[in-house]
Amino acid sequence: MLVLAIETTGKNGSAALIDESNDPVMALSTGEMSHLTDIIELIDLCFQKAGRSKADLTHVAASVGPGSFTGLRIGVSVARALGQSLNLPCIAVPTLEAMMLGALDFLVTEGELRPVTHICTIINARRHQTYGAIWSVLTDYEHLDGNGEPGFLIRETVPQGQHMIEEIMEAIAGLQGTVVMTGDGVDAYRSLIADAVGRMQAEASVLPQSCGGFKPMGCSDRYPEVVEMPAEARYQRADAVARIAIGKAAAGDTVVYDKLLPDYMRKTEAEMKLEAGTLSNKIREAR
Amino acid sequence: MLNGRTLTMGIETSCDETAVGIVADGRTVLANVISSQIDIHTAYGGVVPEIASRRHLESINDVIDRALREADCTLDDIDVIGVTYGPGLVGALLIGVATAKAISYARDIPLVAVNHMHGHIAANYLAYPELEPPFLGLVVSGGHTNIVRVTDYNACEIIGRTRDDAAGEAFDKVARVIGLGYPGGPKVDRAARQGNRDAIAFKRVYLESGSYDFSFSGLKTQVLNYLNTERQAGREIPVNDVAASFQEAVMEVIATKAVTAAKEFGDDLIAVSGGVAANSRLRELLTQMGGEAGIRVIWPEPVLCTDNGVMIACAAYYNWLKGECADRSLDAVPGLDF
Repeated sequence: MLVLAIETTGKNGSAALIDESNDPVMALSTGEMSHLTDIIELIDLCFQKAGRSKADLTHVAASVGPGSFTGLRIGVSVARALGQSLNLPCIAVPTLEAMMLGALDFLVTEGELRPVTHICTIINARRHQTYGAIWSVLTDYEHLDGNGEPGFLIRETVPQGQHMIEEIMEAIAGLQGTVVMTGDGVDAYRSLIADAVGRMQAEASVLPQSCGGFKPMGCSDRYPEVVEMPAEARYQRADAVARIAIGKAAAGDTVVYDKLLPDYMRKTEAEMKLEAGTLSNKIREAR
Repeated sequence: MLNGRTLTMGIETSCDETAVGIVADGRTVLANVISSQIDIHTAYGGVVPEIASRRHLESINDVIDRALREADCTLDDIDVIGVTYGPGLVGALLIGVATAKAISYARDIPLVAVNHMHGHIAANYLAYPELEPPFLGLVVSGGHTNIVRVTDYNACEIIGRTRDDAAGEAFDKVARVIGLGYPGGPKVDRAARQGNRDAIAFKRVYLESGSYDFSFSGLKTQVLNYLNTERQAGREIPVNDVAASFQEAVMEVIATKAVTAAKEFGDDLIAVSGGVAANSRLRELLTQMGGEAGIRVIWPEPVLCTDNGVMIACAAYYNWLKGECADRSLDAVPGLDF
């Protein structure tokens, strides 16, 4: 198996190749929102780095959203066209799930697993909105890997969807342990997050000493410790998309190119207005 | 190659039609598949860019498959891929560009970037196999109103352009205010046939003497003012007469300027293209005025006037012959000039 993964839902586009060795080769663009210009070059760079050719490819995967509508359409379009022209099955990878895995990878590979109990993935959807989810991370001592190391069980505590940042913070206030926040929603809503954590602190009696080695966004004894993911591991990346995709490829969780579709998580504004009846009013006024 | 002929695929997604065409040796149409979104956008009174982008993505690969089936060939037979990279709606354009780049990369097929406006002009090469530059081009569509001197394949000099609204835009707006709805072009044309074009004396806007430019926003205001006056006076709006009189004011100016330009530049042929080229009154006026001046006026059949993939394939073929290929960094250029 050789799976190509495309990630263009965020600011920097990337592509990655992964095979059974589970060690992705990635090319990441330094350009911001230059997905259309860069994506084919990034894919080609991956083939060069990995010393593989297009003919070796078995699957094409894309991070299908949520995220920038324009960005994710570029990735999905390219994946569909590659699937069509190379006659390969496609794989849809939910962006928030890939972000969770990317965060988990970072937390585990930096030595010991950080004392993190929850990962909150939030993408900025503007006006206090996020496309987000909260994932609970449990160490799985039941299923050890080949080296006798425990794996992780992930539970989607707040399901992937469109949530107000206030709703996310309310959910976090009800958690215990350490919550690491990741995604560009952290940048967009940093002060709102800090305010919410401040209110948690105000209600708490004793402040803890440290925040697990990360930059603290606020901690308390009653409420969970809230930390932000370092910038280098905060955004969407194709290597995490590839790691989910290879699992799906092995499980046969694929679609034909024509069925690879974006997950916008939001209707268009015009559709919402039409349903609410406000669009037709506007047209009536114009008459 | 198929039977010794060069096959070009053209991909067009600049507005609300997802279209793919395949031509042989640049001029013979083998497939022309158009998936129109017009029914979807009608509910909104015009094209909604975000909806258009979403629909393009969902349709494009199926439209490609249908075109290949219609041409009875496979991607193995395609020698050149052409794609519209502008002008148009950016979100819509990028679906075509991303798709074309990926297929070109996957199958090592040369990629050619096509200016949508050159595509409209190329529609006439498909309709008239003997047509060759130079000639005078009149491109009238929802987004453009241009008089150009076509000096070579995909090369032209702009003689006149709109300074505000395009003719098609003015049609859409007027159609909306007189209750005909979207799309304005065909609906006004149809209503106008039942109306009196001399009923209301809308002022013709010729701009300064010697100019081949256009301005239609003032005409739109004239229509609005007329409607307000009539409504305030409690008179019923003669919709067909308004449509006919408005259409006459637009088309008379366009036809007069095109024929005058052809005379001035010594062109004996005017090739009309773009969605508004399907307008019956424009055709009548051009034929009549052109005939009086000894100028032949041609236009493609309606299916080649509206946005389509074959006109893009034809234009791409001529770019490819000149060795003008795009690289993998091709971007969409929504404000691309002629």
